[in-house]
Amino acid sequence: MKDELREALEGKISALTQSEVRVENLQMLAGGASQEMWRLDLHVASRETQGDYKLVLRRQLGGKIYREALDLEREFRVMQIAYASNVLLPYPQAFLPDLLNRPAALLHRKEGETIGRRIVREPSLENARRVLPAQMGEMLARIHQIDFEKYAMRMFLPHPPPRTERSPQRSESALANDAAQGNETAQGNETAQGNETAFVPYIPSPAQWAILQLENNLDEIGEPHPALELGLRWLHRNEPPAPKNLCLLHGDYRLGNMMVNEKGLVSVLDWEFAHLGDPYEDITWSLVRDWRFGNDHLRFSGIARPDDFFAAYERATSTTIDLTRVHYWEVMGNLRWAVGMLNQAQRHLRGEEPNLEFASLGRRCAEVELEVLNLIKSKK
Amino acid sequence: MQDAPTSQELISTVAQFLTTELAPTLNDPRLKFRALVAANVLHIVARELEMGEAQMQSECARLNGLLNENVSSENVREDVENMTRVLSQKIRAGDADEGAFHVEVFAHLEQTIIEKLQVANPKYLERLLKETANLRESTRI
Repeated sequence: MKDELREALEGKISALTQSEVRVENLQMLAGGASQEMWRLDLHVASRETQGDYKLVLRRQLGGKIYREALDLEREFRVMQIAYASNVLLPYPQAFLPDLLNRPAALLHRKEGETIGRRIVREPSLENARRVLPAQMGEMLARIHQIDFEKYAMRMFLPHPPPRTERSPQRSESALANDAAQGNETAQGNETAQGNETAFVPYIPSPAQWAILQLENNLDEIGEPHPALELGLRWLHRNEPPAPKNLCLLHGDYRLGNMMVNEKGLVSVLDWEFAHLGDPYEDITWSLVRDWRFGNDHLRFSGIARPDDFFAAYERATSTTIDLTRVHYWEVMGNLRWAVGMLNQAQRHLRGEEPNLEFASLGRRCAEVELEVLNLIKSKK
Repeated sequence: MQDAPTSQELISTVAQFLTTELAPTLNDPRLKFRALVAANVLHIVARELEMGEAQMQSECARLNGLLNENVSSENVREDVENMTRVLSQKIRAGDADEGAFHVEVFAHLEQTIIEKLQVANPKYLERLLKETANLRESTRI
């Protein structure tokens, strides 16, 4: 397998670089049912990309973790855009649509700690833990400020169905007003030739979109979870006004997806859940209790109070964090993670990826259920 | 009747073996972690063997009260699952949004989750209950 992979890689890269190439020290880092990770060193002998590269190879194998997860090709495009926007992440070197019949991506290899539990506990990372909250806040602001329309990201990322022009919230007179001002609404623009598009339900906000996904996901799982249902009702009834603008979201922005060294943040990893939505979804994901690794009182990922993280985000975006929205999306985040745990357990139960840890997550869901009840009890 | 040890004792013995004998010999940190997860799963099973039946009975009684039912078939587990499904549908339909039923449902769910955690993760349960108790204490002042 390894030799075959090495030869295939050399063939592909040689064609891309128009040069002789050598792949060395190919070594598997992690394997699973859905993805493989390899490390390798690459030597390109000549022409403009000549040089030595330390790389990571990711190959997409089978199923996806969640329905909303991006395939490798789209994830790679998001990484390219984020990289070009000064977000810290491994340089996306090449996408190979067909490497031994599987899509694969080559990324630069950086060194650092990526295991959340160790980032929280490791004595040598004490300084990193001091600076990380502010660094992560500032970095999240960079991601949220990416002009996703400029990169036409609606075309390839999951997003809440856009506000249609015939929004129920807009009165006929407002529409007439638009028309009078020559403000062309998209009724005219959307009738181009092509296929009929999906009959999407009208969903007025990213929060309602997220709730609907969770409800559908719970129905798919098929196990009754009344505590989660009660949490979802709370979300229905306590929704803050929809945000003015959507943002590009990382979608899994927490300590466990950061690469960290003694100086702090090295890279933001795992972009497969990128989508467009409400910025508070990303802002609060790091607050979910389960990521605190037992340091319960340190609400930001078990390493700090959220103050520094919020302050850095506020500075970088010139906005003010709204604590009501934080609370709302923290409830949402916990529900998302509860459903995520059930999904993982299902992957095991359905035989898609038999795995002891996935199985045990089924029994850990109750931890998050208790947190949900506590959160919605503390504020009605 | 089987001879000693009981099934709970056997499970605990295997968990003990994984934690104290096997795990320390494993060099691969991922494998070591999994051995500890396996031991933890066995502890869950042992606690469920001890408490599961009584918990299921009281959950069944609570659900009967909550839903005004009088279900008592041979299979308690099935009854509880069916009634929990009905409860879930009621909640999603908005029936438990407020009022007395909301309060009853909330109390039932809290108790059910506490019972799940007594089996699945008693340490976490203890930590969280202590924290909420402290919180209540501090808001009372």
